[in-house]
Amino acid sequence: MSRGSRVASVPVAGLVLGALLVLLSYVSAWFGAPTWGTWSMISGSALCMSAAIAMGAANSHIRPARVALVAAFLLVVIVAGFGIPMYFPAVTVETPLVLGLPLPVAIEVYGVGLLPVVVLPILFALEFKSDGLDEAALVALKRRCAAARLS
Amino acid sequence: MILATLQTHAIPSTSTTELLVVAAFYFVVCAAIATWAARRTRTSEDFFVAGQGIGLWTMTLAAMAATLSGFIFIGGPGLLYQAGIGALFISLSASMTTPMSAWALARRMRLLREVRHVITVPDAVGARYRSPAAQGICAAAILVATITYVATNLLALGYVLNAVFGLSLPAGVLIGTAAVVAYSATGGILAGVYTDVFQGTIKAIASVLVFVAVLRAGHGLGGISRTILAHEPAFLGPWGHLTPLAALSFFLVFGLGTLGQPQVISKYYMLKDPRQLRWYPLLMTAVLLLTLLLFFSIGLGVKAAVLAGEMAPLVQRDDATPMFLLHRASPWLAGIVFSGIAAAIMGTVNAFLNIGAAAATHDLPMAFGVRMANELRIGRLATIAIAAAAAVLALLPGQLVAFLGIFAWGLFASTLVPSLAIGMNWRGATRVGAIASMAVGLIVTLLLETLGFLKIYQLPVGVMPSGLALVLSLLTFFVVSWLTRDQASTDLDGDVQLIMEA
Repeated sequence: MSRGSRVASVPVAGLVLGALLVLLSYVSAWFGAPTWGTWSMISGSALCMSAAIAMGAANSHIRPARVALVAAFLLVVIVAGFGIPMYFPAVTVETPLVLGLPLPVAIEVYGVGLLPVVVLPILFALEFKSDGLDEAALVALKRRCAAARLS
Repeated sequence: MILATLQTHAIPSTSTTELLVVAAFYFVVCAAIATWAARRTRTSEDFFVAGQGIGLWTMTLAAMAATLSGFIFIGGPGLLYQAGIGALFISLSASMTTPMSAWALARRMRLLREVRHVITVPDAVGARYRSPAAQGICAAAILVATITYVATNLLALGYVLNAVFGLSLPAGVLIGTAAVVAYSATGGILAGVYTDVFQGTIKAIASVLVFVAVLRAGHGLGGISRTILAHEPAFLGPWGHLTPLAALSFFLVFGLGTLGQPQVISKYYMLKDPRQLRWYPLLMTAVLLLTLLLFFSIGLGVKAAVLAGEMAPLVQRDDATPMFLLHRASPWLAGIVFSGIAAAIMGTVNAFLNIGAAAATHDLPMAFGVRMANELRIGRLATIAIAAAAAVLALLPGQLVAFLGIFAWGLFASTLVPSLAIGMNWRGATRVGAIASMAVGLIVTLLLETLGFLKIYQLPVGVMPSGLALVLSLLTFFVVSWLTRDQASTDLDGDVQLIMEA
């Protein structure tokens, strides 16, 4: 098995499992949309998003440990950000506000909607490999590609 | 869900002298930029991929302008006003989608353009699988989705011109179409990206100004929340008035589906210096979030004002933004925001007209082994033809237009996420898997939306046709690729493999 196949196999498994969980949650809607259906959707969506980002990051020559960290971070943020608010009591006028929003909604908006901003784009910039993208490297790549097509 | 993205009702008249001045200024600047860019458009590469390339800021603002249509200014705040916090799930993934797309596609698409001289998204699908058939199916799906999506946006533009200039709806649609076609057909994407810079800037400024105005009017975000909680607490519950499944479907489809948006993916071809990709996710995410402030703030602010008795209840939810501008904003701010709405719609229409023209004149002929002699001239004619077809559709009865527009987003997601975004990252993908997944995405979306529209069969609450189509096409892609795994290596050219590993 080549390196390319190996780095892609875990995210592919994550995407398949995530899609199956989302499908299961949709099926649950025909049976009254029970709570496990919601959890199936939360975990399926989180797996799909984490696996998609891990797949791209892994193929961008980022160290496996960092890829795992990015995927785990996103998985936890989405699962916790959508899962925890389900267990709060119904919001009322007495519900405490965090940065202007009721606590359960603040977890969703600031947790899922804002927290990744301070991690993912910055990590992308730090880990970005510009080797191979300057003019000389592009010429070399074109030459190798032309040779690969002929072979 | 997608119905919410469409503007199919008249906007209350907002015509004032200040608004007319700002709107006229906006259209004059757009025309000047378009004229300048049109003179620089000499080849089909200029027309479809901005020739020698564009800078990072231009690419970022162009991608933002193409991504955020008029929905962010009209439909989005209206949906939030009606459905509560659950509607916000559409935009929650904006914090993560650009890095996801950049990691999965940016570098590979840019290198593919360098090596293979591809100019369209279906070109990339064809190159990945050594398959004109895959390129053709992808182009057909994009063309269908483009015409319908442009139709719904032209209708929205007609309503904006109706509200600002007092034009009749047909006149608004026709004049709006003529304005967009004038720069799209002459300057192609080159004119588009430079007008997008101006339009994107207007959108971001309008959004921030409105956010500040809403907070001032509602005594801060805390004041707005307290007012809503006192009258309608469920509105600020974890899912608002939506079911958990519906809210989470928004998050999934608008999150993962971003990987299949051709108007954004094609921008990766255009960056002059690929080393600048390093800062693209940071810039794009920041600009997206700034522009989404309007969606967030008007939906909440108008709800609080109505519940507090400071504004009359809305007749229809899409009135949220116009009514806020009429009653709680200065006429100059209203002018900037209405220009922002027109900018949002025109930027999106231009991007999609260009993508549709490329599909019709470049990809479909190539699927049959034909190469057009003069792609620039044919591309211009195709732009006019697609805009004309979309304008005719836009003037059909509103409900039918809405129905046609439903297909677009789901089609892009279900046809391109597996075949392109995953296919460019997974060597186990096969040509048969890609074609099967695109076919499943196309058929499931059309079938479920048609059955729902004709009221023959309604899916249970929370099950979104585009979400279901997306997961079914994903699973089809993996299952069929696995069943045909012996062909995986023969379906991948050596040079494309090098690009995937570069």
